[in-house]
Amino acid sequence: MPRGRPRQSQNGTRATQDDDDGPLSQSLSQSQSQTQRRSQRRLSPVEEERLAARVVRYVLAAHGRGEPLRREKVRRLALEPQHGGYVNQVLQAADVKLRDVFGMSLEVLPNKRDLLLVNQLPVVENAPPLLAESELQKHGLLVAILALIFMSGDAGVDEDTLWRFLSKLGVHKDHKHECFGNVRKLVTEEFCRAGYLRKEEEVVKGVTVLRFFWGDAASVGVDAVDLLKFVCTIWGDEVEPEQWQEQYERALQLQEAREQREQARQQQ
Amino acid sequence: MEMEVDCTVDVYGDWHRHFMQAMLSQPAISADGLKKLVGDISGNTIRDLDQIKTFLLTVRSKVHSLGLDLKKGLSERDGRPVYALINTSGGEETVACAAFSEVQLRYLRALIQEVVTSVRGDISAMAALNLADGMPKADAQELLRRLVRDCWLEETDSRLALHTRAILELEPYLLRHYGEHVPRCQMCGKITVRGRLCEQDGCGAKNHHHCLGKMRDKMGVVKCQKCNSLMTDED
Repeated sequence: MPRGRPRQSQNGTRATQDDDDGPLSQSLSQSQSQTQRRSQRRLSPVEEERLAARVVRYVLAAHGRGEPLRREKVRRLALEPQHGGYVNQVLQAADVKLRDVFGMSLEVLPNKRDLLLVNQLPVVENAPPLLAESELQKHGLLVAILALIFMSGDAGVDEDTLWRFLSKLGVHKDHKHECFGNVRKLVTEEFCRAGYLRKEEEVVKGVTVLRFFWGDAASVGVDAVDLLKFVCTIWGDEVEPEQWQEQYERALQLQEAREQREQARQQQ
Repeated sequence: MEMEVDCTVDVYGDWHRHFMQAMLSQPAISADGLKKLVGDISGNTIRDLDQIKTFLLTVRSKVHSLGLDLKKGLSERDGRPVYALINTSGGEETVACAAFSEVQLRYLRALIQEVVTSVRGDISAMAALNLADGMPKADAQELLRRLVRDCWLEETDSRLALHTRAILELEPYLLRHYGEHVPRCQMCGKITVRGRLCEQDGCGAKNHHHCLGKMRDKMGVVKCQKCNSLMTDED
């Protein structure tokens, strides 16, 4: 789901550069020979453009389905068999197009298997939302849950605590909410399937209970510092993010990890 | 507060990107809705028709390279303009696979067939549900809800028809598979799914209700442009 982020310094990420780029390499090793070898196996600009456009159309159609976008599926369906070896090049080109046209980036989740569309446009006050009404409501619920889990630290949140928290917001486990429908299904299935939440089963006194953590899609798609600021606004005017030391440090770490990912991408 | 100071109507920038993201979650938008959206996005800078036209032109030039287009169609329900972001790369199965499962696609194809080949160009919600073959009714119900939400189908008084968005996007598909059921309206030249059949035996012309309405307003009578016979007033 798209999430606004404060504008970062314009550093040419917007793919307005039309010049031919040098050898792209997504490999972990930066060795010269490996780079040279890869630069010999590249699609022509015309083919790259054509396939990147296909990937973009595919990603857009799959977006908002509430399911993770599998890299493998993209490769299988959007690329033709003879292009299987050029996945990284095409995904990179698709990312460039998505940023340029939609202001969204195509991120690879840490599991290296799933992809996620993330909004890169700066948040503008009073501008209309980027999401439709029903999506906005779901997003609001998700942010509330993510905030709860984040504030609880590494331990995650057990299901009981989660429902007690949500009921205070007027969202009840067994209710058929007018917007969300079956809330329990939304939280324990849809959010988890999409990778925003991760659930673990644990047996406590012979009973199986669920425990929730941030999922990979949340780590990649949600700005933790923004989230902390959001939590502060709920607490009141005098509260600053820095006052929650442990959480603030962790939020900064997540932010730094994201910035490093961005830098690594730009260097390619 | 962030201000997008470097945005202009005719140079693709954050306003246009914001618009594109909005269109992703809003597959079809009315002319009024479009005007409001663009106005809100631009902090009320884009207000008049010329500016909006330029804005849309800038968007269309940009998305062309992606095999997409922002098309305008007239609703077969009320004749009002509807804008939709559509895929112009023609019958791409891969895109359909991204949005729907195989079972869902089968159902969708059956729905389209039923709607397009019907006399009125629509079917009852009940009939739509009964088309669900090998799919639990609850799933079909859920899928129908989603199809209406995403502007593939349009519901009026418990009857389901193709949304303007669907007609814009699926035109090549409809022409290929149901050519004789979607003749071009004599007035506007666009294909007709929901419309009025000429009563004259053997004529077969079908025209949009709103196009015939315009003719009535202009000329006082409604005549089939194909066979020149007078068309009686509908109830």
